[in-house]
Order: sequence, then C-alpha cells, then structure tokens
Amino acid sequence: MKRVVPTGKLIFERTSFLNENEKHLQCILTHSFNSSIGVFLPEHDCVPRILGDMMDDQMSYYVEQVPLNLLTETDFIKGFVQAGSLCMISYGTCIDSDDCVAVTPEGMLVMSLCKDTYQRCGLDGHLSKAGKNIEKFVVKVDLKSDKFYPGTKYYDRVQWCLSQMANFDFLVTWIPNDGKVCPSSIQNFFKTKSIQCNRLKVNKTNHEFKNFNIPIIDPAVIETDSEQKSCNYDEVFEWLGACAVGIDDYEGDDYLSTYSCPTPNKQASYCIYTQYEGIIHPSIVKQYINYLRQFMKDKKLPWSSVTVHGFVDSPLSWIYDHGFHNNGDNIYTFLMFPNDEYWLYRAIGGQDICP
Amino acid sequence: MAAPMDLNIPHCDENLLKEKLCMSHQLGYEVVAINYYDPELLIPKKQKKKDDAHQVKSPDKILPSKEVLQSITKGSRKPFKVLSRVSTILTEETQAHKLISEEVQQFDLIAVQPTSEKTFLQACQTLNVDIITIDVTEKFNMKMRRQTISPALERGVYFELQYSPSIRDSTYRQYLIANAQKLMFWCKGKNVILTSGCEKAMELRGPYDVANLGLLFDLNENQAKDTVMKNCQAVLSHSEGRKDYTKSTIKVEKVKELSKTDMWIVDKSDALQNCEEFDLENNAVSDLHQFDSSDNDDEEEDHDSDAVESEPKKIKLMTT
Repeated sequence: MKRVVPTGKLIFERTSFLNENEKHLQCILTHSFNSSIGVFLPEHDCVPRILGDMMDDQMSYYVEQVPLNLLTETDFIKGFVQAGSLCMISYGTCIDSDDCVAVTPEGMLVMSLCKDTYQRCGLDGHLSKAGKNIEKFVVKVDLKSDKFYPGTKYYDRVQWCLSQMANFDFLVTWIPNDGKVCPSSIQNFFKTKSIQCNRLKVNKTNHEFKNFNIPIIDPAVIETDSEQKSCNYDEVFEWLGACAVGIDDYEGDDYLSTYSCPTPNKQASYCIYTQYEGIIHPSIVKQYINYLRQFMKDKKLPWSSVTVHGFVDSPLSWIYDHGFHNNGDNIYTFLMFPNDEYWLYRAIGGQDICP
Repeated sequence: MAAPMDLNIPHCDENLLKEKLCMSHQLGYEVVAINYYDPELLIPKKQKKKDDAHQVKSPDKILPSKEVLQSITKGSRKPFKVLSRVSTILTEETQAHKLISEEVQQFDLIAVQPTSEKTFLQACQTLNVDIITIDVTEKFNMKMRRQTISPALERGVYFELQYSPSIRDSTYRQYLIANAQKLMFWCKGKNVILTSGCEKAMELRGPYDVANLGLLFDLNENQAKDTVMKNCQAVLSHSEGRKDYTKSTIKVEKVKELSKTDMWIVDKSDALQNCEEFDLENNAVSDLHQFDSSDNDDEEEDHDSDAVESEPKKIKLMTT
C-alpha cells in the first residue's frame, strides 16, 4: 500500500486568554507574514469601524526591484530593523519554484533559495525541512546580532554575496518603536535610493447574511456527544470557511450542494463577515483581537471569530520552514467566547512541520 | 526546482496560437514549446509525390513575433519563454538519419514517436533526440523491458505523455491511464514529463492540476510535481547540450553576446590572461576550457574571452 501524503493538517487547541502562558500572543506574533484578516460576527450587522481604521493607518508599500545588499546596510539596519518592527516579503515569487526572501519583525533575514542560487550565492544554510526531497535551501541572517556590523568578516561576506544576487520586489510594512516617528519614513528611505515605492491599497470584502442559520457552540464541548447540545469543532471550522467565501441560501437546494449548517443550529437575523487583504503586521492583529474581545462582551455576542491567512509563498509559517505542495496553507482562526475562552485552529500544508 | 513548463503546444494558425499562449501565460507557465508536428518528416523524398515538395519549416516561422509576445505578457515581470519543437513518427529504423540534418537540429527540442519495438529501442539507445512521445490515442502494444528503457534514463531522454486528448475523449482517457501506468512501472516514475498537446486553449490546465493528474499514474507527490517542473528543466538542459555544446561539454560564444549573469567568466579569464604575461608556463587557461559536466543539473558554460578568436570556432561548430 502506497503511503498517502495528507493534503493538509489541522491543529486544534482549547484554552483561555487568561492562561498565564499567553500562548495566543505567541501564535499571533510569530506568524509574521499575514496576507488577510477576516472577522465573522454572528447576530450583529456591522463590523466595528476600528478595524478599517487600523488597516488604513497602517502604512504598507510595494517596493520594486530592491537590491538585497541594501537590506544589510547599516543605515537600513539601524534606521528600521532595530528601530521598529519590520515585515518584508518578496512579491511575485513562488516558494516552490523561485527564490523567496523575507525579513521578520525579529530582524531575521530569511531566504528560501533554489539549489542553483544556493550553490552560487556562497552563504551557509540548510535544506528546507518542509517536505522530503525538495531542493530548497534556507539561509538565515540575523540582522540584529551584535556581531553583525561592517568590518567583521561575516558581515563583509554577507554583503558581497547579497550584492551578487538578483533584485526582488517587496511588500513592506513597518511600525516604529518610537511613536513620534512616522511609519512612512521607510518610503522616503527607498525614494532617496531612487527605488520605486508605492503605497499599497487595502482590499475590503464584505459578506452580509440575513436570516441565517448559525451553529450553537459551547466552549466547553468540542466534540458532539449523543445529546447534541453543541457542534463539533471541525464542522464549525468548515462552516466558517464556507461563510468566508460568501455562501448564501445553501440549504434547501440539494442539487447544487448537499452542504448544510452543522447541527444543532439556530437562526440569526443578521451576520457579517468582513475581510481585509494586504500585508498586515502581527501587532495589528494582536490589537484587534484584544479590541474584539471587549466588543464582544459589550454587545453580548455568543461568539466571534478572527481568521488570519498567511502568505501562501512565505518562507516561514510560524517559526518553521514553509513549503508549497498541493497548497501553501498557513492559516489560524481564533474562535472567541465571552468568558475569555477561545478555540484556536491552525491549518498548515501537508508536509509542513506542526507549530 | 524550476518553473512550470508545457513543452507541447501544437502549432496552428496565428489567432488560435495567440489564444493558447495567452492562456498558458495566465495559468502560470513560464516556458512553453510550440510543436511543429510533421508525421512524414522522416519519409524519404523519393517515395512522395513530386507536387507536394516537402519542406521543413524553420523555427523562426513557427515562433510568434516579438510584438505578439509582448501583447501576451503585457509587461508582467514573470519571464515567458517560447521555444520551438519538432516532432514526428518513427516507423522504420532506417529513416532516422534525417533527424541529424541541420533543418531538424536547429529546433530547440526534437521529439519522436516510435511505432514499433525496434524503433522504440533505437530511440532509447542511439537517437539524438530529447523526447520520446508515448502515444495516448491508442493502446500501447509494445513489450517494454527494463533493458530497453534504461539507456534512455541514462542518456537523459525523457518520455512524454499528453493529457489533452483524454480531455477530448473518454476512450483516450483509458488509454492514457493504462499506458502511463505501464510506463511508470518500468521507469519507476523517472524521466517522465506531462504536456498538453492542446488543440484549443480550453484544453490547457494549470501546472498544479497537471501534477495532480500525475498522482493517478502511481507517482508520488514530488515525482508528480517534477513532471511539470524539474524534469522539463532537465529536457531543456539536454537539448542545450545537443544543440550548442561540443560533446555536450564546451560552448564557444562571443563576449558581446554573453548574458550578464555569465560575465564573471570573462573577468576570471581576463585575470588569468594577465597572469600569463608574467608566467609563460601557465597553462591555466587551457584548463579552464575543459569542464567535466557529468552533473546534469548545472550545465557549465565556457566562453572564450577573445572575440576574434572565437569567431572561426563558432562557424566550425555550426557546420558540424
């Protein structure tokens, strides 16, 4: 019998925000490259405007043709990598066939290189751990390291090696540590180097549902028993996915789809799903989740969910190597309840390492 | 790994071809080959009627013009490369000599479709081709043996399976899966590429869908992906070796025509030449000219730094 590779993995956790380990923060902050954030609110007709404002306030840019050695220059490291939290990911590159480059908020330059490029570039790295027999190599350079400054052998070598490599297009967002500094200074930096740098527009999608069946979820019960008081956790995740793509009037028509809302369910007069796409800094996700917890308690919603999609072609999913086989999923969903408990779903590709 | 490729898009009239190329670009293919299919390519001229004088089209006539290509890519930065390919049917062993002729060899890729066991063996063992096509429109009747196929695996000749006929007709679908599984049994999933062979733009499928089809042929996930990516890259390296390199190892090019990424070779050899002025016994330059490219993955390229000297060599290469 041939061994079948799974097409995806789902990791499920049930804990509380009040847990002193604060695992939810770790999950949010180490997932650096987020391409979209989606919010589902049952029994409510509009998503609080603050999310939209946060997304608009965040400055994200599309920078064209950046030479890689610019990223290791002292101006850049001191001015941006150390003075704030920088998210940078190469755009238009496929993780399975091209070279991909990213800078994490922790100041790590991560490059996922093809065999040819890796052998030519002359930097030390290791074989990617996402999947077997894939010829991708991961090179990591710690830009925040104490020993990384001009004059040292290592720095000079990295600088020279990166100058030999091709240019990349990047998506950039930067949040300065000092509140007085304007986040748009990174745009000026690229402009002074005469590199094209444009503001990235955030895409917004809205799905409204009226008289809609929603599942009844009890935070303490994750698997349905014979009494059927609460829905199964995997059915809920599937249902949230269906809502995210805007499923409507699905029940009662068996011909097109046999899908129906998981039981037990009840009818809600209004539901809303809103999604923003762009490059989203993890600290914004953190802020928003904290805000939404309070909002949920104020409005007495039964539950609410936040789904964050990572970039399909990012070189990292959480802190592990990321690959693309059938899909490049790295998604996490917080299903939050008013009593500060939450369910955390994390979906990753079949051959990635579980975080 | 390499970019997704489709090495068989049949040549047809201009508008339809443009439509197909547009579609393949949208689907994310980075390299495509336009296939000039001529079943009578190898039949000697004497046997044919005089009035249809048979002329092989040159690759330039098959490839679309630069303006057409530009209108397809529309300024996107993703590279889109179009290659030329010729394919034919090999019915008798004695006909194969025409494949060496210059008008055939100037194509980027050469494919043959053997029809009998003898020609299949010949194609695997001796013929200077890049691709052996397995017919998916009829049942594969030849007896395959490991010994027949292994020379092809060693020489880096690849087997091609087309998926578009099976979209058109359900009986072809049976043949495709049956033939493919038979082939995989003998070559163990190595040296196989999947191509479209589409007649309409609608019959093209995205690279990941095609790789997914590979799972039906008993390939594992990596092998299935290789059929549209890495293996196709190997076919291109093989064809480059056949076309441009003497004995598949040495290539002579003018300095002016060098691509930017290879300019370092000139710098190196210049440095060596400067050394030579001081050290007359230095024979490092001649060492530089011979590379052992037993490794198929990275084709070493060697270039003569002296443009004047390189010119006669180039002409010599062309005539052989």
